Amino acid sequence: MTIIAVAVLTGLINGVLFTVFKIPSFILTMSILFMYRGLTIVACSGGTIPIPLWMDVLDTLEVKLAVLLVVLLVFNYIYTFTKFGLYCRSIGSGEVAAKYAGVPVSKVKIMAFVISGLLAGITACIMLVRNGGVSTRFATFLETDILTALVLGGMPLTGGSGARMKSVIIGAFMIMALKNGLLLVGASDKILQLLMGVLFLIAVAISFDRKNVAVIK
Amino acid sequence: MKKRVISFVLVALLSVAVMAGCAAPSPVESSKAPEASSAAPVESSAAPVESSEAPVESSEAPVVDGEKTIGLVIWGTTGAAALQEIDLLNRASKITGVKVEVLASGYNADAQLKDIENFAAKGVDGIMICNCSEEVVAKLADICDENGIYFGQFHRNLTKTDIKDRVYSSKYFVGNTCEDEQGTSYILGKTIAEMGIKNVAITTGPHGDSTAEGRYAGLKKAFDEAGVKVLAEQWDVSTGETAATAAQNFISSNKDLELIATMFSVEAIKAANTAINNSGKKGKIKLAAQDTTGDAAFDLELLSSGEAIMAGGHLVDPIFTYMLLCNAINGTPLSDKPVECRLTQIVFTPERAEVYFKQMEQGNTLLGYGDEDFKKMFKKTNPSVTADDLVKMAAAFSVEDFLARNKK
Repeated sequence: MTIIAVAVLTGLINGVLFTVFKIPSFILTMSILFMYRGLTIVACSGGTIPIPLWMDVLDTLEVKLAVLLVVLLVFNYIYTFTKFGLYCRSIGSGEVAAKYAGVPVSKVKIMAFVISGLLAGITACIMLVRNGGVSTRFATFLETDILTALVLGGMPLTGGSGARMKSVIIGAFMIMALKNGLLLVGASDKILQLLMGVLFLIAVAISFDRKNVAVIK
Repeated sequence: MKKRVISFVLVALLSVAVMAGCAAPSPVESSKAPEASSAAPVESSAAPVESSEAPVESSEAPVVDGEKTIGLVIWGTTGAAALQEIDLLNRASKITGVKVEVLASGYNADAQLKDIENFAAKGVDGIMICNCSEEVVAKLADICDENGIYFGQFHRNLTKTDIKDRVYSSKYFVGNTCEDEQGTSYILGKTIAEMGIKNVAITTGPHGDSTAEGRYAGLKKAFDEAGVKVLAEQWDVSTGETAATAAQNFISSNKDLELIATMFSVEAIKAANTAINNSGKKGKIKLAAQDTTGDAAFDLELLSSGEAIMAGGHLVDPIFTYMLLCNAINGTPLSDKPVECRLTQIVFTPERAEVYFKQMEQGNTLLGYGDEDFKKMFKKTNPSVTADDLVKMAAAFSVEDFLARNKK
């Protein structure tokens, strides 16, 4: 519960900082990430903080599948059938137009960050139980895997009405199947990283919507 | 049109990867096949008796000599220590016929768990691990029990009671090999104190790592008894980069510093030595380490010039766990209980260093044990070998033991 609470609070902080100070979300969240990494190093004192062995019972496929299904169903419903979901898609498609259409842009963005924090917290719980503890190298570079999965699944980087929940599912399964398949045919894990990078680049190049982005920096 | 072509290529690549994953052999079938074909005596071990019931279904599966595999989960594959140990195991595999496959995604729990899962998916017959934390071994036990894979530790043991109980209760756990880290570091600490050194800094590995904790504890105990002051210490120094940064910080922050003890990671030794030289303190700040760098000329020079105090020679450790696994995989386990092999590290005197670095270690080749020794450890080539023999061989390891075994 503490993990979830801290994650939700972090999402809230991110959302407030983003809407109030207008810091680009990528820079803001990376900065918070570095800050938390530093806190982890201090807390772990250069080692691992283990969890009790009895928590191993939570590290089963059934538990993970159940959590995954609940999250997918709940958030797919929210995104597809609720006003909040509509507001998210409209902000992604055109923030200015959405604002003039009466969408409470700042509140929706803060809520989106809070939800993101909640989901990160759930993921952290699952990873904590899987690893048996937390260390300074906990979940390093996980963000790159997530980005690659989203892009491979067809999620538009600019968001908007083109964003679909199924992109998340397809992308996640594709990346895991690709990684495991390549390892099983004997590919070295170092070549795997190279391949994932190339794949990410190709997927972004194909899927990036150049027409609807005013300036490509 | 161009986008469609590229998308098609991507889909084809991904489909191949998915098919490869689906086509991989089932780990349960491949790991139980050897047990089905071996004539495991009933009285020798619980594991072969229990598992011989299941293979009735897979007894048609052919067992071909040389196709058995042990997965090695190690901290890296580019450092001297790792290369030497992998070479040792590859040489032994020519005697046993049990191949070694290596995965080293990183020295952290998540990476090691992924390596273990990948080995299980590949259908290896055994897994040996130098674990970054004891919790990883508990997970390894779960995965191996589920897939019928033998497993063991090298360079590590288990100190946490609940994890030890869990792992030792697994019928697939063959045992571990490790060194008396605390005892050796205590001797090193005493030696440092006897040299008149009063101000030191320490780098060691991550908290929770039994090697790091043991080495630190022994050193600290010796220093406390002798009144040697620890000016600074840094944990989780397991790469050359972090060791260099730590050493530079120690040197700039502590004018009275006389020695840096790099108690974890082979890469840290050279990195710290470079930092000492670059700061113009060569000869004024000494080095202590409980590993050797793999560069025999470098180590010999440091030791003979008095710039370093070192212990090591324990890179032969994995051979004992490997042999425990090979014997179990072949249906002739050496014991029905986990076997604990304890190796003694060599505290280098000039005479011992002369023998070790000129005869027992050459480039990436560890010569502490050779083909004749491997044959003695393996039941197929030495039917009378027992678990006690292996334990005694590990305990006897020393420069003197090597010279006695290789008398010409």
